Amino acid sequence: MSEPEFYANATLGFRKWHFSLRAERDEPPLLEGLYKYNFHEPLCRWDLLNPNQAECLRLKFNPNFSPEGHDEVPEPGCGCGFYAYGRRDASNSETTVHMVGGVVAGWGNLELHERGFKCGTAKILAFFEPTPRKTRPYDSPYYDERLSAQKWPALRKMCADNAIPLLEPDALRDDDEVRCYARGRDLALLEEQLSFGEIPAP
Amino acid sequence: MAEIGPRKKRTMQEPLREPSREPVRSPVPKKRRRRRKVSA
Repeated sequence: MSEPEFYANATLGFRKWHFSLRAERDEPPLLEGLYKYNFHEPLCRWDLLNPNQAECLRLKFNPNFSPEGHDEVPEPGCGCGFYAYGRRDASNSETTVHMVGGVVAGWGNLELHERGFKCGTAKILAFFEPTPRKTRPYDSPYYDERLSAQKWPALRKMCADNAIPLLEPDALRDDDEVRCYARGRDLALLEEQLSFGEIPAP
Repeated sequence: MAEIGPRKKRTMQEPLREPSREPVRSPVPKKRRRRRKVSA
């Protein structure tokens, strides 16, 4: 590809975050990325209100690793950037006691992949309520009654404080529903962009 | 996400407006009101 192609809209994506309560009850819970650069470095903490800007943690924590560096995030060949899937599946965006699933809008530099994208800027649009089967005792290895009793109220308060909609656990699993959601918010879908420019079948 | 191989890379401009958490357009088109004729 010679020239980059431009889009006016942000792209709809699904992903999960670590969701953890803080020791002090007054402090809001933490929403953090799933992967960290190494054991000693902190997870990327997400801003709930504003767009988040991705940075390359490899360059930040180990500048000697790549002396030439790179200016753009995400950079092809590097793992940096915010990750999101183009469609919901059984496990990529559901809310459990340890993780919260939700919807993001990604823009800035956007690297399209077959099932998702990496981007430089992302804003949280909504979270999914806990999946019922993950909230009943003995059904799931993820279940923790004491933890969920603390976490669900904290999740609901976090959403209310930051005007983040809390969607039904099975929301946006249907393609038509996703298209309607995206259209109403001027968002592009991954599949539309992957097929953009391809020659239609005769 | 490691199983997702890069397929295409495109660069996108800033969105025309920051993505909204709520719908920005009414899904049902509003009915047009007829103008009342004003007699002279």
